[in-house]
Amino acid sequence: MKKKSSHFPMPPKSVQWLLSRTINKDIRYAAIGDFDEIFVSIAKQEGIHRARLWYWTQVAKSIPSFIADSFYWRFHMFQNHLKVAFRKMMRQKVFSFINIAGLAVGMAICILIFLWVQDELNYDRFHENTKNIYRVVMNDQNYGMKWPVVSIPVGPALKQDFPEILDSARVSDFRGLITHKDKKFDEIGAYVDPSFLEIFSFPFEEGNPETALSSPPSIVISQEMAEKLFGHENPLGKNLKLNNDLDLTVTGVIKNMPENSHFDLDFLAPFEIFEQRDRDPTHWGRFQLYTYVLLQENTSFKQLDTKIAGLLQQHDVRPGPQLQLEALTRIHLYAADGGGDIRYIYIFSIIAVFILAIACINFMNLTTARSSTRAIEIGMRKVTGARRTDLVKQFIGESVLISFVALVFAITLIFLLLPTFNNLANKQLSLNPHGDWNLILGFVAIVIFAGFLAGSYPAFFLSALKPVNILRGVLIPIRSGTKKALFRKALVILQFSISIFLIISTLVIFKQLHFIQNRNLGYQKDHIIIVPLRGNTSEQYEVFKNELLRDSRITHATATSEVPVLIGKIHMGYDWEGKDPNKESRMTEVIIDHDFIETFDMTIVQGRGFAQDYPSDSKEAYILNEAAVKAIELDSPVGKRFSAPIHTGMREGKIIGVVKDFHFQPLHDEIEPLVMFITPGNFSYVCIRVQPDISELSGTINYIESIWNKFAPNFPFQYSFLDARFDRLYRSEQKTGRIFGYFTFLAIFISCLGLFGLAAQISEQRTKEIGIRKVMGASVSRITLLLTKDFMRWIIVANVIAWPSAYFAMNKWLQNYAYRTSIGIDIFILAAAAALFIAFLTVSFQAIRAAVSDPVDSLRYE
Amino acid sequence: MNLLSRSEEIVLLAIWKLREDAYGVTIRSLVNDSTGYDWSVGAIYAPLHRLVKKGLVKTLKGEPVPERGGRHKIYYEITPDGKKALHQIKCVHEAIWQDAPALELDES
Repeated sequence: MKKKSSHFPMPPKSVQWLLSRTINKDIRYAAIGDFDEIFVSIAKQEGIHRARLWYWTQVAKSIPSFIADSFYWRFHMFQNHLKVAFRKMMRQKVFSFINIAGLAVGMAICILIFLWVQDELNYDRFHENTKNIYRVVMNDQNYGMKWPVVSIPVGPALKQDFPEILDSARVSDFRGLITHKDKKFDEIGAYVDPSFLEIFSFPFEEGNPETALSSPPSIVISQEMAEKLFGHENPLGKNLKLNNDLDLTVTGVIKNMPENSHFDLDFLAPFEIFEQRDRDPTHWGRFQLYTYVLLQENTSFKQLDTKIAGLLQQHDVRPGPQLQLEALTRIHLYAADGGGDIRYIYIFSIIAVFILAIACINFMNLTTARSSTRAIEIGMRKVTGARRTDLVKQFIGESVLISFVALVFAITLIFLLLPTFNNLANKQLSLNPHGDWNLILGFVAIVIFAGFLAGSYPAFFLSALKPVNILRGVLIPIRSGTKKALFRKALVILQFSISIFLIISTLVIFKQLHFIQNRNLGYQKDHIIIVPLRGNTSEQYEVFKNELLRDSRITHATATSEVPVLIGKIHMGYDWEGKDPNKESRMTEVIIDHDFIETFDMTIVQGRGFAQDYPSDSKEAYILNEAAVKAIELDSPVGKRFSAPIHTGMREGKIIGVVKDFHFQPLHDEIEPLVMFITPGNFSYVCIRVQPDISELSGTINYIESIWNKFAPNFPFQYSFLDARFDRLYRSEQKTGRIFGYFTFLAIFISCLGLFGLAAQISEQRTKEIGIRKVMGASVSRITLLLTKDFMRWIIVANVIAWPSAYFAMNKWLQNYAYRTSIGIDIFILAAAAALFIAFLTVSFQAIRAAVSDPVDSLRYE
Repeated sequence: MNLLSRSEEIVLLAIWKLREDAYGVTIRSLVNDSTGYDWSVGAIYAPLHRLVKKGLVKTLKGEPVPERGGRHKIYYEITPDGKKALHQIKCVHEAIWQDAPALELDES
C-alpha cells in the first residue's frame, strides 16, 4: 500500500491534517479522497508546485463551507437535546426546582462574593499613574513595626536627591470646621502639596488643577461640600473660614473621592499653611504626615528602597527608623491602616467555592439518583447509534442549560439581596454598573464551570451504562453497596462536612466576640461620654470641667490625650533609676488629667494615683502599668526616679504609683508597657462619667451641650459613648461573624435541598420494599428509622471529617488574639446536633410520607 | 415536501446526469463546467451531505484508487425519493417559467 502511493506526489501533510479536523466525519473520507485525486491529476499535468498552490487555495476556500456544514448538523442534534432537556425539566418539577434553586442560591452567593472581591481588589486603581505611585513608610527596626508616616522634610528631599522619583506629595489629614456665612460643616480634609493633584487623578469639576493650590489662601473642596455650602451658586472665588481662624478662597471643586480610594477627603488646603504653623518644620525626626511619591516608569522600587533606607540617619535621626516604599495598590489590603484585609479575600473566596461546590454536588447527586428514569432513553440513544462522547456532550449540555436557567434566578436573587449585602459589607456594590464585559464573562464562566462540574459525573456515569442491561430492565442500584452509591455517599458527606465546618466557625467567631465583650478590661467602659476638645474648651479646660461637674448627674470628668479603648502613641528614650544604658525603652504614652484613674475606675496596685493635693503631680509624677514595671525590671518602683522625653526636653520626675494592667488596645495584642503623666494643655478629649440612669441620659447630654455652647459656640457639639467606641474596634469581627452566619445558613439550606431530593428519590425507589415490610407488620416508626438511618450515619461521618479541620482553622484564627476564648467541645457537639437535627427533619419528611402510604397502592405498582 | 435549495438541485441533477460515474471529482467538474464558476470542494460537499441525510442520494463504496491515497471512491446514486424531488423541482420550474415574456438581455 505504502509503495503504491509513493508513486504519486503527496499533498502537504499539515494542510491535510487541518482538513481532516474541520470536515464532518460523514463526508470526511470521500472529500479527502477527492482532494487527493485532483491534486495528483494537477501535479501530473502542471507540476507539483501548481498542485500544491491549488491544494492550499482550495482548502482555504473549502474550510468555511466544511465548518458551516458540521455546525449545521451539530445544531440539529443540539435542538433535539434542548428539547429533551426542557421536557425533562418540565416533567420533573420538584427535582428541577431543587436543582435550579440550589444552583441559583449557590451562584448568587458566588457572584456576590465575586463582586465584593473585585471591589476590594480594585482599590486605588483608578489613578492614571496607579502603578508608579508609592507611599513612603517608616520602618522602625527598634520596634519591628511600620508606620505610614514620615517627617515634613522627607518628601521634598526624596524628590531632590533621587532622579527616579519624579514627584512627591505630603498629606496631613485632620478634621476641620468649614464655615461660610451661617453654614457650618465639620469634615475630614487635608493639607496637601500642589503636586498631590498631579500625582493622583481626582478629576476637577471647576477650576484649574495646576494652579488650584499654588497660592496659599486657597482651598479645593469636594462637589458634595460645594453643594452643601453654596447650593447652585458658582463656588469658585467664594470665601470660606477654616477652623474659625483661616480665610481661604475656593479655587477648585473636585468630584467626590470614589468609595474605592483609601482617601476620603472633603477639602484640600495648601500644605504651606501646615508648614508655616508647625513649630519645627525642618525637624527630621517627627513622624507625623503621609508622603506619596511618583516613580519614573519601570523603576525598580526594591532597588530604590535600599537607596532611601538610610536617608533619615543622614539628617541626624537616631538609628532605627528607615524609609521604605509601599505600593499604592497594596495599601488597602496589606497595610495596617488600609481598612481591608487580604485574608478575608481568601477566606470569602474559599467560602464562595465551597457553596458553589455544595450546589453542584446536589445536582450531581440528584441527576445520578434519577438515572434509572433516564436509563431507557440512554439505552435507546445508544442502540440507535449514539456514541459515548455524544451522550457526555448531551448531559453536560443539559447541565449547562440548567445552570443558565439558574443564573437567571441567581441574578434576580442578587437584585433582592444586594441592599442587605451592601449594608452588611459596608459597600456600594451594584450589579455591573459600568457595563463591564469582564464581569459578564465572569458570570458566563461561573455558569459554564458550574454546569461542567455538576454535569460531569452524571455524564460519565450514565453514558457508561450498557444498553443491553438497561433494556433488559436491570436498573441501577441506588442503595449502598455498589461503587456508584459510594461516590454519591462521599459527595453527601463532603457537603455536610462543609456545612458543619461553617457552623463550627460561626460559633467560634461568636464565642470569641462574646468573650471580648464580657472580658474585664481593667476599667469601666459603660456610662462614659467622650467629647473631643476644640476651641476654648481646650484652653479653658479647667473651667469647662468645673462647669460640667456642677450637675449632679455627672459624677466624674477628666481629660486625656487618647481614649482608653485605643491608645497608640509609642515613644522611646525614657530613663529611670538603675537603667541599663544598652536597654531600649519603648512605651506607650498617654497624657491624662488628675482624676483619670477614678473616672475609669482603674485599680492602683502600688503607691497612689494623681491628686490635686500634690501640686508637683502635674510636673513630675508618673504612673506606670504593671507591664511597664515588668519591662523596666524595677522591684519596688514607687518613689524611683523616672523621666520621659517631651518636646522641650526631658521631663524629670518620680514614679508615684502602679496601675493594674488594663486593655488600652484591642484584645488582639498583649498589654504593652504604658506610662501616664499629666501635662496640662495637651488634652484632646474630655471623658465624662454619668449616672447609670438611662432616663436621665438625654437630659445630661443636653446639659453638656449647653455648657459646650458657652465655651465653643463656633464648633458643633460632638460626643460618643466609650462602649460604642469599644464595639467599633471589633466591627470587622462582628461583620465577619454575621456574614459567616448567613453563609452557613445558605450552605445548610442548599445541602438540605439536596438531601431532600435524594431522600425522595430513595423512598420512591424502595416503595415496593416498604409496601412489603408494612404488609409483614413493620410499624411507621420502624420504616422511618430504616429510611433515615443511612443518612444519619453519613452525617456522623461528615462530623468526624469536619471537626479536626474546623478545629485547626479556628485555632489559627484565634491566634490573632492575645486574649482568646477556648474552642471547647460544646461547640462541636452543638454543631453536630444541629446538623443531625436539620438533616433528620429533612429526610424524615420524605421517610414518613413513604412510611404512612398505603401498601396496597405501592404494591399495585407493578 | 420541502423544495430543494438551488445548490442541492444543481448537485442532485449532476448526479442524475452522471449516472454510474457520479463521485466527488466528476460531480464538481460537471458543476463547474455547467455553471462557469469554480466551486470549491467544500461548496460541493455541503449540499451533498444534506442530500445524503435527507435520503435523496445514497452512497456506494467503489474500488480503492492509488491517486486517492489508497482510499475508495465513494459513488453517489440517486434514490426514488431523489427522483421525485428532481421531478418536483422541474415541474416548479416549468410552471413558473410558463408564459413568462421573453428575456432580452442588453449586450452591455
